[in-house]
Amino acid sequence: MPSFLIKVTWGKWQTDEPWLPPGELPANALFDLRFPSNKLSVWSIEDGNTNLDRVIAALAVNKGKTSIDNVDYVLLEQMTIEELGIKMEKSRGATPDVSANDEWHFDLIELTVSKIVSIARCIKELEIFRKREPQVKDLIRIGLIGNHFDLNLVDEKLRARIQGLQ
Amino acid sequence: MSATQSKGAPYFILGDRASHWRELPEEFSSNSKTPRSESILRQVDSNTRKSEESLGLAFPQSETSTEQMPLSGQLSGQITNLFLAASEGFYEDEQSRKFSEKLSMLVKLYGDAAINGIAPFIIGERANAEVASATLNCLSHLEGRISYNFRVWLMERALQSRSSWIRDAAALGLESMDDPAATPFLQEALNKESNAELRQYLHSVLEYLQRKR
Repeated sequence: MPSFLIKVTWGKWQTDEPWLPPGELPANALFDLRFPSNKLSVWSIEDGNTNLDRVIAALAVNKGKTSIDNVDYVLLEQMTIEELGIKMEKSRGATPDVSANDEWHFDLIELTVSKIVSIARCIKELEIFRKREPQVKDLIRIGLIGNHFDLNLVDEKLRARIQGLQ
Repeated sequence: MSATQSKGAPYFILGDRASHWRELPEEFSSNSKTPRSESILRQVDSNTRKSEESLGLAFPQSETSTEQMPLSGQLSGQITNLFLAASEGFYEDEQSRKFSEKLSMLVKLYGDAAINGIAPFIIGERANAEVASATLNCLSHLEGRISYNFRVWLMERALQSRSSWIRDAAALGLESMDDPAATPFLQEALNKESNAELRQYLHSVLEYLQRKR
């Protein structure tokens, strides 16, 4: 069964703040789970993580990004989403990788406050994976060779940095 | 206390950021002759002095005499206002992006003096972890040699932060700056690190930079 990738920021999920009661998460973590129209954007990762690197590269050059950074993410099993009673629907992603947008992007839909909190609680128990900046650069190079990105959709500053990788 | 408050229990108006200023002394009010940013800066300096002293915040020697610019009131005001605005949080990517653009511009314009003004917010922990992390990220991605040594110095000092988020951002920043000279500082940070995940990240960054030597 596939899993769903959610991009996070490692620091937001740290529980070592002295004021934080045991078992709690800082409220700031919820800002990683942006849910316009009560939807949360996620990426389906196939068994064996065969499309993982491509999705990470797509997120690394996503709209609004001006520099090449590390990518932190969690993989939430589809079964867990179903157990939480959360509906999902296929939708089009908005990254510069048009094929990835069409093939692997989903929205978790009809989200309520309790469902968002349930997702956050699940994430808290998961390992946060990281692709470091040098690894992300390698993935972007692969994407450039494979012509995966529509560079017109990449921010001008980032485009210059990406072109410097070639 | 206002007339409405005196009748019942005190209440808070959510999202009313202007309320932060209501209890401030006269010198912070808009009627004061002193510009607000300068007054705030004096308070920030006074509040951070102790923590700066305990951290041994000694700014490194400038690379050239022309780069060591005094921290002008105008620059201080701009930096303080930038961090004050950011302290409300980055609810949208656009806010983080604008913050980074303004910060980059200040460093490009004022060089070392800008880093001198930024340092107390990071090392003195006057900025919250999210803003400090965004600052370190932005400084690590500046192109060219502008204030290079000062930026590396700030990253190295931030490795000692009490916040794991800031320590992580500092390590990522050093990795991004690709400078093997940072390895002794990363090794020291790794030896002290109590967060298991961060220890793993620090180890990866250290290995990466050691290979560059």
